[in-house]
Amino acid sequence: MTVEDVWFSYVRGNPVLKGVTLSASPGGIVAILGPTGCGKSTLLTIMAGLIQPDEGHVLVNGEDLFRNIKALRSHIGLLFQDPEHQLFNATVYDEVAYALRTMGMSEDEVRRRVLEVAEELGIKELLDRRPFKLSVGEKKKVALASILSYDPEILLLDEPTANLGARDEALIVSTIAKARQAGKTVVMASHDLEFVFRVADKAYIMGKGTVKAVVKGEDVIKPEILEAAGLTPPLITMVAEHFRISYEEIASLTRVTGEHKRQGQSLRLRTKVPVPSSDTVACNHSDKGSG
Amino acid sequence: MRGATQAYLAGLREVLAELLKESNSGLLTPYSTPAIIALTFTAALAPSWLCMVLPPIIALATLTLSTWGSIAEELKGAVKPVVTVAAFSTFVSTPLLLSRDFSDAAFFIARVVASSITFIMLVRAAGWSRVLRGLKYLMLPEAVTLMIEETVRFIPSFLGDALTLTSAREARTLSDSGTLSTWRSLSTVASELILRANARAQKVLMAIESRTLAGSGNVTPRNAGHHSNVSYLDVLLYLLTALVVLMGVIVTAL
Repeated sequence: MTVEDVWFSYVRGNPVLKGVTLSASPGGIVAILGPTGCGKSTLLTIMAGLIQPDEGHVLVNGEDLFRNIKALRSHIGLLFQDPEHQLFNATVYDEVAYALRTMGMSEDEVRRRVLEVAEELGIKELLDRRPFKLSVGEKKKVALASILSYDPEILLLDEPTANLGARDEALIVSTIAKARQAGKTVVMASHDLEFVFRVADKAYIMGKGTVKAVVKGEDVIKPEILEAAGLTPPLITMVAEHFRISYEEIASLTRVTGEHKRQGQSLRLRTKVPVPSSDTVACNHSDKGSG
Repeated sequence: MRGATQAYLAGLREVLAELLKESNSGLLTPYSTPAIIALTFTAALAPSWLCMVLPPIIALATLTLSTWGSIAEELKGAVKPVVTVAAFSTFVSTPLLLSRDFSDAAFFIARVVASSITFIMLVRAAGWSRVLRGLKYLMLPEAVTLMIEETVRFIPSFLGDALTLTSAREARTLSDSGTLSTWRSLSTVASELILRANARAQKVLMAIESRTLAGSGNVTPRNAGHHSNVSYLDVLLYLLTALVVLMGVIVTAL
């Protein structure tokens, strides 16, 4: 997927996007970083073909998205920033089945696919529930299931980890890792620098509607890069500074790459916890069973 | 007062959600849409009590056949929408009782209720997405189908927003200063609600469009299974609809 010199304004004369260009390849994970209001969500909405840019092109497999939107829509899945805006069906089952039914799939096949995705994302027990009665984390998982059900080649994820607990975030990481293994293209907009650091191959740092810098995923926590982009360093950067651990070492320990080993449904990551000195109070906060 | 407003909004949203629940049986296909429309119109324009009563009976039979294993649950789910729509239809038609001959007005109200029941039961048997897909088969412009779908999907979301706003208002109203104050408070919610409704409508439209993969032109979705064919229940519904329409025509001619 390629975005070429895209300009867009909601109000004439006040562009939100000013000549944005980016590219993402199959099996690659691209992050769009930047402060609130810099145009990340608008860019993803354009990439999903839901709003047309004033200028520029979005190419999917070399084809102009807006010239062939009907044919290309099934290749793209967009996870909205607020899952409340994405869910509109009466039950979770109907929500996950919606796209499949619009394709005209037989009900047996729909059922098979819905159960498969529900199992994968751990929402099987929610299938008969009303989407509007779920928690934010559950809604996010249902919204993700609603796009994974039709198996799009390109996943556009808008703030995938926002308002999620550690366990749900791990599920998102696992889903992204699976998408990478399956050769899908993942583009995500996020505020969560640690999450981006863990999963992204490449990051576009945006500010005031333009791309300010393009950096490698493992470099997004480096202070000099964050400073240049006007972003606040995440906790992991401070930890690295405090314990004088090189960023390369942190990257080798915590980044989720295509080479990770799988054990059951969970990711098995090599971790090394720095031993705190005698004058330090350390806190290990994690889910049960995480070790 | 506010508690009642919230209960009303929550109840209405639940009714609409129940109405929008899709059928998992798939026994009525999108090809049944013309029959559903014809039968609903036949009930609405019925020239006699018999012609008016038959469509809801056929609709009930269709719902029973299409959801054979879970009919009790389906009927239980259909009760709320049916009662609500029947109550609304009767309420808005009541002035007719004053302005027209009583039996004429009663017959009119009965037809409104009968056609509503017919439509609700058949839509429940087929599922909204199939009925809407059927409209596309009828060569209705895609924009029109999308507008219908947008409206149908938007209303429950809108009610959800209304519920959230009234709850938020209530949470910050610290004194109970009487009915007038309550109405004033609700009126401020209304103006905010209108503003939110516009934004919400756009979001719902985007959500629908982003996952509407039908009419994908020359592309066969890579993973799509078998497409629907006409089912035996479609054929049965068409036959019964034709019979009732014919009966209506004969009664009118006589």
